Amino acid sequence: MIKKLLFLLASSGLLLAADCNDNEPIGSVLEINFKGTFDNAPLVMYESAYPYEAGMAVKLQLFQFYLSDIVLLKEDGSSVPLSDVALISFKDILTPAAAAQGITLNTSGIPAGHYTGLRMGIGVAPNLNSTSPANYTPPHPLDDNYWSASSGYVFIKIEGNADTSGNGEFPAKLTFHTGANDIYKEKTFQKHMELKDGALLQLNFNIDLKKVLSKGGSDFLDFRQVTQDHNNNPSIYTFIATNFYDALSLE
Amino acid sequence: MRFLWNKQAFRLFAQNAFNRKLLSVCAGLFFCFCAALFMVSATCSSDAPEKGAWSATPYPLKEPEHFVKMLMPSDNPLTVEGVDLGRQLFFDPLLSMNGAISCASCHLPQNAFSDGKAFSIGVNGQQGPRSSMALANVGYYYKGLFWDGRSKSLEDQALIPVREPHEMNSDWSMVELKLRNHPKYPELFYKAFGIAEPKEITRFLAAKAIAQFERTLISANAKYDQVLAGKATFTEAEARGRMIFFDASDELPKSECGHCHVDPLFTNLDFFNNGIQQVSSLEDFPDKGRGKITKIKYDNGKFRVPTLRNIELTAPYMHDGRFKTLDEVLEHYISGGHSAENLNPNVRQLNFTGRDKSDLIAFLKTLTDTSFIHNPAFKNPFTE
Ligand code: HEC
Ligand code: HEC
Repeated sequence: MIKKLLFLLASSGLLLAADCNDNEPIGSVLEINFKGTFDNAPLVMYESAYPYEAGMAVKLQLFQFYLSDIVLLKEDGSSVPLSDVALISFKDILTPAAAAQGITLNTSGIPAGHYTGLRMGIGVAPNLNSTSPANYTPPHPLDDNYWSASSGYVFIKIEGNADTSGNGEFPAKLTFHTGANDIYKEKTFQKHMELKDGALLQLNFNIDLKKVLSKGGSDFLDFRQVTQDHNNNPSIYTFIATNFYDALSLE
Repeated sequence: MRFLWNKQAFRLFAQNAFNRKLLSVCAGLFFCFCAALFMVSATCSSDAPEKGAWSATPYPLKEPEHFVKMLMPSDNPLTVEGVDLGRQLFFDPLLSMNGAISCASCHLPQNAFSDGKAFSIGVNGQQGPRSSMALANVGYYYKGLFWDGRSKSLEDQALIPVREPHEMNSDWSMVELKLRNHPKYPELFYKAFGIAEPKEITRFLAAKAIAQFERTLISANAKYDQVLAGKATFTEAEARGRMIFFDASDELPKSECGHCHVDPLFTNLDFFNNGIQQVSSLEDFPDKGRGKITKIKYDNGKFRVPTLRNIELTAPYMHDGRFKTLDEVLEHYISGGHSAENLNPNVRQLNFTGRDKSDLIAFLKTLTDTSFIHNPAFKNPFTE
């Protein structure tokens, strides 16, 4: 809470100091919240074991992803930028209570008015994916997760362990990292929103990790056969990217 | 398309789950707005303060272009005079109880500012619980210093060794007295910070000066960097080792090293259990590392990823110096590590031949930066 206040204080101070003009409207605040689930159960790192396909089970250590060019859409087709890039990480979600709160992005100073939806790119947009941490002063979302061998950022990281034989042990080590310009994709979410000056609005997104790993039936990542991919095998990384696109939803 | 710092200040930042209730946010906003108004009335009408006679020279820090930018605290800008004072303090055993141990006793330039011991030895031969850390590029480590990340900044860290019983075993009031009554230091503190009288010498100014010196300890001129800059070429073994290190070829075995030892710093500054310790439960780590600080069970046995720059010079390895050679380190990683609930899944059995191993080590040795360890600006000023 203190951190948040300090941040808001600093940013509103900067904003006003830059203009030396306190007559401008302050705009509204939009909180974009992301909750992770696994087959609808709260997504908690380490602690929880989640039943998976074919009698297997999964535990997580890391789930994170980048979003780029997040914009609010207006009726006339124009848009208002909210952020050029954000890293959403569930790494520190260690309890069901933390999972229920999710991860929140704060945007402020948004012009009041009527909006029809929100658009975001899943991954790091190509113009930013051609940069590297050397372009940034930390802390910045793009100061990490750069894979120099492929000159780009890792868009999605899923790391954890699997019980492949149903015996309650989790020896299989899972590391799935995806990211490349050709799997960057924008998704639009329709929602009518009335933003008022000085008011706050919350948007709640959900990402169900099971849907990212499995389409159900016989179409799932089979951890008995494959435990890692670092954007090497197109049939794996496009599977993850497509599923992620479908699974990200706005309540 | 950069919106992050534009005038409308659409600020967006990722953060952990705070307890956010609508009410408190509204109250917070109101508070912020009032405070901001106050700040504006202060900034908009302020006249420049009068300048005194003292001034220090900005230090021309050469930041390597292929590195992330160094985060500089606004209240401790680098100055030539500050860095010089910091260097003197760093090498001065005056900081210790018995006048025998300086920072440099455990952070030696020739060892890339580590000490070559499994456990560091402090005043009166007392052994500490952990291995010393190399200080190359320490100015970039903004996610917490020490193996467990318990110190937030170099300014904060520099206060600690003086009072640690197994390090310098002194106390700062004593050190402040010695510095104030010293024939040389009052002048140096004046030059660095413009103090009016010796009694204004404090531990905090000393720590600031040491931190300034440490920020200049940049190592970015190893063979690896020269190859990147097109000024040198890898041998065949080094080039093959590089491909293995970064998992860059489907024909070669993967090493997974690059997930954690991310270039160009060769650390991502994060904390992991890399599987060196066999334990039957997460409570059993002899040194809980990160978990001792966060009190989170799953952080037990996690340590900050150390840099691999100058790794050839900083044996023995790991927080407890358990491995004497890089060969032993690689044997550990090849085995896949000891399992534990929080063993990082990027540490997995490797399918290595003897040649893969020796090529990877050849690559690691291209991270040795001799111009760094021989840099005259980093040498002991008392033995020049
Ligand atoms: C007796 C040996 C000893 C002395 C003397 C000593 N250090 Fe250290 N230093 C260590 C050890 C051991 C660690 C790691 C300790 C830990 O993680 O708990 C360390 C860690 C550090 C780190 C953290 C580096 C990183 O990458 O996080 C810095 C910075 C540092 N020392 C600076 C200093 C300074 C400045 C002084 C003098 C004021 C000093 N040290 C004196 C042994 C020593
Ligand atoms: C999961 C992240 C991770 C991976 C993958 C990883 N390391 Fe490490 N490495 C660490 C951590 C954490 C430490 C410190 C552990 C400790 O001291 O307890 C470390 C320590 C080391 C050290 C000792 C450094 C020192 O100053 O003492 C070397 C050398 C090293 N790693 C090399 C490698 C190599 C080579 C690979 C690939 C084969 C590799 N690492 C893979 C996280 C990792």
